[in-house]
Amino acid sequence: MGFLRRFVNVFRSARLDRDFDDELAFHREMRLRKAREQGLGRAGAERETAIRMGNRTVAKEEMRDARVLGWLASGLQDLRHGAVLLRRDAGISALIIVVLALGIGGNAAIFTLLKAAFLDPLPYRDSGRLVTIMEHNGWIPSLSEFIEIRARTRTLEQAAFAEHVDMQLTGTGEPARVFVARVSASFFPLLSVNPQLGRTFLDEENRPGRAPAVILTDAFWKSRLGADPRAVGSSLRLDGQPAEVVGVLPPGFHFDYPTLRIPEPVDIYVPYPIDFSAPFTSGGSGLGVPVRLIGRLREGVTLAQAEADVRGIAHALTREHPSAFPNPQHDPSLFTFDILPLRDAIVGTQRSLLWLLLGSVGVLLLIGCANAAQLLLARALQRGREVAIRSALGASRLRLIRQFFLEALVLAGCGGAAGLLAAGGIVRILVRLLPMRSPLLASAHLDARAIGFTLAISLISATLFAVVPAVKGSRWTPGPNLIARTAAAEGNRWRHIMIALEAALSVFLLCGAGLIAQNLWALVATPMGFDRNHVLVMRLKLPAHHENTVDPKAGPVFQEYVDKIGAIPGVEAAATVTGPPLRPARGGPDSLIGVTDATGAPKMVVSLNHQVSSDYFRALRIPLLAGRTLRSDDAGNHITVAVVNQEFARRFGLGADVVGKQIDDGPEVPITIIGMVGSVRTRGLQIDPFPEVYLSSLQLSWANTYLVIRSALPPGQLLKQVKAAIASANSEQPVFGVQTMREFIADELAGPRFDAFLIGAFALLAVAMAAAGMYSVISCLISQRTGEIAIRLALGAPGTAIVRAVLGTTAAWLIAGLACGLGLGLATRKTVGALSSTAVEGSPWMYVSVVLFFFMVSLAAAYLPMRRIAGRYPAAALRRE
Amino acid sequence: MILPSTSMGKIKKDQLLGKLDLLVLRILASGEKMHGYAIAERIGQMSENVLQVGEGSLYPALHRMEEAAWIRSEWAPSDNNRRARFYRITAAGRRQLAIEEAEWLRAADAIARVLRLA
Repeated sequence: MGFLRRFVNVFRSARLDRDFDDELAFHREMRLRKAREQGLGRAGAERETAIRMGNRTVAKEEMRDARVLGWLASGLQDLRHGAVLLRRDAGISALIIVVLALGIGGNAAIFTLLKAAFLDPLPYRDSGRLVTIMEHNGWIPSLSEFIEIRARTRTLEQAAFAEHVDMQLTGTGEPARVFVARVSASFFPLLSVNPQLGRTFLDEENRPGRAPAVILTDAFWKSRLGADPRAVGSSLRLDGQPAEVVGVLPPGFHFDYPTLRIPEPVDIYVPYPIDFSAPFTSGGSGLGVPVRLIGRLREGVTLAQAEADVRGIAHALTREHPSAFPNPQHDPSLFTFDILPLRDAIVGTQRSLLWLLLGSVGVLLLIGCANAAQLLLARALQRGREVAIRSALGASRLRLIRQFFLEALVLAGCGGAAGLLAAGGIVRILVRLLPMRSPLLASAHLDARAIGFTLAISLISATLFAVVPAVKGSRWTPGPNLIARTAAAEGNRWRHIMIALEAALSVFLLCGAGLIAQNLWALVATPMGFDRNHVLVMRLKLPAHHENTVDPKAGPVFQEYVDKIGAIPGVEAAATVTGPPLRPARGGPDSLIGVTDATGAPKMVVSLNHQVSSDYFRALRIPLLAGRTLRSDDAGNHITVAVVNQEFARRFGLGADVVGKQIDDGPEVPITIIGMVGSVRTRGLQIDPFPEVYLSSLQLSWANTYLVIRSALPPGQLLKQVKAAIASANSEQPVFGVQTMREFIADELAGPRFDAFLIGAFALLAVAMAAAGMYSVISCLISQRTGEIAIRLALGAPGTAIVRAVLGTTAAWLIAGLACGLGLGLATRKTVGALSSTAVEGSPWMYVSVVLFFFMVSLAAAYLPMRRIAGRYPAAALRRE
Repeated sequence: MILPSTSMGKIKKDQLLGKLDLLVLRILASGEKMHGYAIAERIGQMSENVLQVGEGSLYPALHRMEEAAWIRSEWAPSDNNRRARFYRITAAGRRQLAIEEAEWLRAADAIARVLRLA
C-alpha cells in the first residue's frame, strides 16, 4: 500500500507541496501567536519563530523524501532532462532513432516470423503430437505402406493421409479445374476439425466403388457456391462422376503447406477409394500411390519411441516383401521410415533462411548500436562542462552514469516504438516477397511475446550503446572541464574501436552475402542439359480421368494435338512429356539383361521414367549421343523401346554401348535401348543428373501430361494458336498451367534469389551505416585538430603529411577491423553455406572484392571531411579556435 | 533531531537522536488526535522544557512515521478554526511504541547500572 501511494505521489508533487506548505504555515501561525502571548513584540515574535522553525526548504525536502519513491522521482527528473537535451539536438537524436528503429524493427520482424515458425501452435488441436512419416530416402510413402503402418503401429493414436489431384468439376456453372485432396476418413478427426455445415467422412466412404462424398473448403463454398446454406446435400459432378456434398469446412482451416509438397490451396476434399487387395508396393519403387502420411502420437509417447516403432514396421515389411524395396545396393534391409514432427516438416527449408535472416538483422542492430554509441559519445564529451558543474554540486558518479543511461533509454524507447510500428509492415512485405506460398509464415503476427522481445532488445541495445558514452562522459577533471574546452582527443580510442567493430561486422555480412550471391550465380550458370529459351510449357489432362492413370487412348489423342501444333507456322517442335525438368516424375529400379554387379546378382539402378512423344528431344534440344531417338512407329500395346540418358549408362558402367542392351521388365517382352541422350538436371538445378529412361507415349500413356513447344513466336500469340489447334482436334480439351520454360526455371531459382536479395540488402544497409559512422568519426577527428592542422598548413606542411597524421591511426584500426571481419567471414562460411544450402565454396576473388568494396566505401567516407582541410585557409581556422 | 534547550542543562544531540519517534508515539498514545504544533508543545511541557523539538525534524519524522503506518493523519479544523493536519496513533504504532519503550528502558537501565557501578 505504502509503496503504491509513494509511487502515485511521484506524479502529484504539486499537491504534496501544497500540503506541506499548509501544515508548516499552520505551525508558524501558532508559534507566532504564542510568542505574542508571551509578550514579545511583533518583530521579536517573527524572529523567535524564524529561529525555532529552522530551514523550511530542507524540512520540506525531507518530508517529500518520506512521501515519494526517491529513486523514481529523481529518475523521472533525469528522464525529463534527457528528453530536453535530446530535443535540443533533434537532428542527431532523429538519426540515432532511425538507425535503431531499422535495427530493432528488423529484429522484431524476423523474430515474429521465427515465432510463427517455431513457437506459435499450428492451427490444429494439440499440434505438438502431430507427426508425419517419410521413407528414409526422401520418397513419400505409398498407400500400401500407410495401410500397413496404420495396422501395425503401437505408438500412433491415429493415422491419416492425403493425396492431391486435379479434377474437372461440372454441375456448378461452367466446367472448372479444381485442386482436390483425396483423404482417409481419419484425416479430419486426426486434425480435430469440425465442419461448419454437415459432417466429415465416414470410414465406409473410403471403400472403392462408392459415389464419392465431397467436403468443401470455406473459401470454395463462398466463392463458387455463394455460401449457399443448402449446399450440403447438393450434387456435383467430379471428372464426370456424380458426387454429393456432405460438409463445409470451417473458415481458417487449411492443410496445404507447399513444404509438404502440396503445391496449391485445396478446393475440395473427397474420400480416397482404398483398394485393400492391391499388391504391396513401396513409395520408392514409384509403383504405388504416393500419399502424405500424418499421425497423432499417443498421449505420453516420445518421438524416439515412435521412431523405434516405425523402424520396426519398416523392418518387418522389408522381410515380408523384399522385392518391393528397391535400392542400388539391392538390400531391402537398408530401407527404413523416418518420423518427424509435423511442424518440422512444415517449416522445412525455411528454417535455415529464418536463422540466416536473424543473424543478419542481429549484426545490423550491432552496427546500429555502434553508430548510436559514437554519436552519443561525441555529445557526451561536449557536455563535459555540464557534468563538471553537476559533480561539483554533489551529483555522484553513479547518478551521472544513470543520467546517460536514461537518455539512451529514451532513444532506445523511441527507436523500439518506431521499430515495432515498422515490424508489422516488414513482416507483411517479407511474407509477400517469399518465393513460395507459406501459410505458416503468413500467419505471423505481432503479439505480447513479440512486443516483449522488442522491449528486451531495445533495452539491451540501449545498454550496449550507452555504456561507453556513460562511462567516458561521466568522468571529469575539475580544471579542464570547467573551462569550456574539452580535452581534444578524449574518447578517440573508443571511436576507433567502434570503427573497427563496424568494419568487421559489415565485412562479415558482406562475405555472407557474397557467398550466397556467388551460389546464385553458379546456379544460374549451371548447364541444365537442354535449351531453356523459346519453350512454352503447359499441362493437358484428358477430361474425366484421374491423374497418373494409364490410358492407352491418351497417347494417340495427344499425338494428334502435337501433330496439329507442329503444323503451326513458326513452331519448331512440339511434344508431350510426363515429367519435364524440375517437375516431379515417377521412378523405379531397372536392371539390364546380362549386366551384373560384383556378386553376380543383376545390377539395379533406380531411374526416373518419362513417357515422351517422338519430338521431345528436338523440342528441348537435348543432344542425341548414340543410337536413335523415338519415332512415331514406336507404337503398340507393349513397351518395346526406350531411350536412356548418359547418367543411366554411366551408373551401369557403360557408355555408348548401352544402346542395344535390354531392360529387364519381367516376363513380358524386354525393352530394347535404342538411343542415349545427354543428361538433364531433372530434379533441380542443385542436384546432379539422375538416371532417366524415356519411353514412347505411343506405347504407354497417362491421361495427364505436359506439353512443350519450341517456337520463336511471342508466347501470347503462340498460346492462342496452340489453343486453336487443340480445339480443332477436341473442343472439350482444356489446357492449364501455361508458363514459359524460363519462368519454369525461375520458380526454381526464386528461393536462392530471394536469399541473395535479402542478405544482400542487409549487407548493403550495414555498409551504409558503417560508412556513415566512419564519416562522423573522421569529421570529429578533424574538427578536434583544426587548430593543429591549420598551424601545420601555415608552416608549410604538405597535405599528404596532414592526411597521414590525421588518418594514420584510423586506417590502422580500420584495417584491423577488416581483417577481423574477413576472418569471421571465412570462419563461418561453412555455417552460412549450410544455412543457405549453398554448394559453392567462396572463391578468393569474391573475398578480395568484398574487402576492396568496403575499402572504397571507407575511402569515400573519409574523403569528404578530408577535403575540407585542403580547402581551408589556415588563418580562418585559427580564428575559429 | 531534538535540540537541547538553550537555557537548561546540556543534553547532547546524539544521545536523543532517533528517540523522537518514541516521544511522538508516547504523546499520541493517549488516543487523542493532535497536530504537529500541539505535539511539539506537549514534548516541551512534559520534559519541562528540557527537550525542545525543532520543526525541521518533527515534520519529516511525522511523515516518515505515517509512511510506516504507525500513525494516521487527516485534515480537520483546529480550535481557532484553521485547517490543520491531525495525527492519530494506529495499532501498529502502539506495538512499535511498546517495542521502543522496552528497548529504551532497558538501555537506560543498563546505562544507569554502569554509572552506579563505575
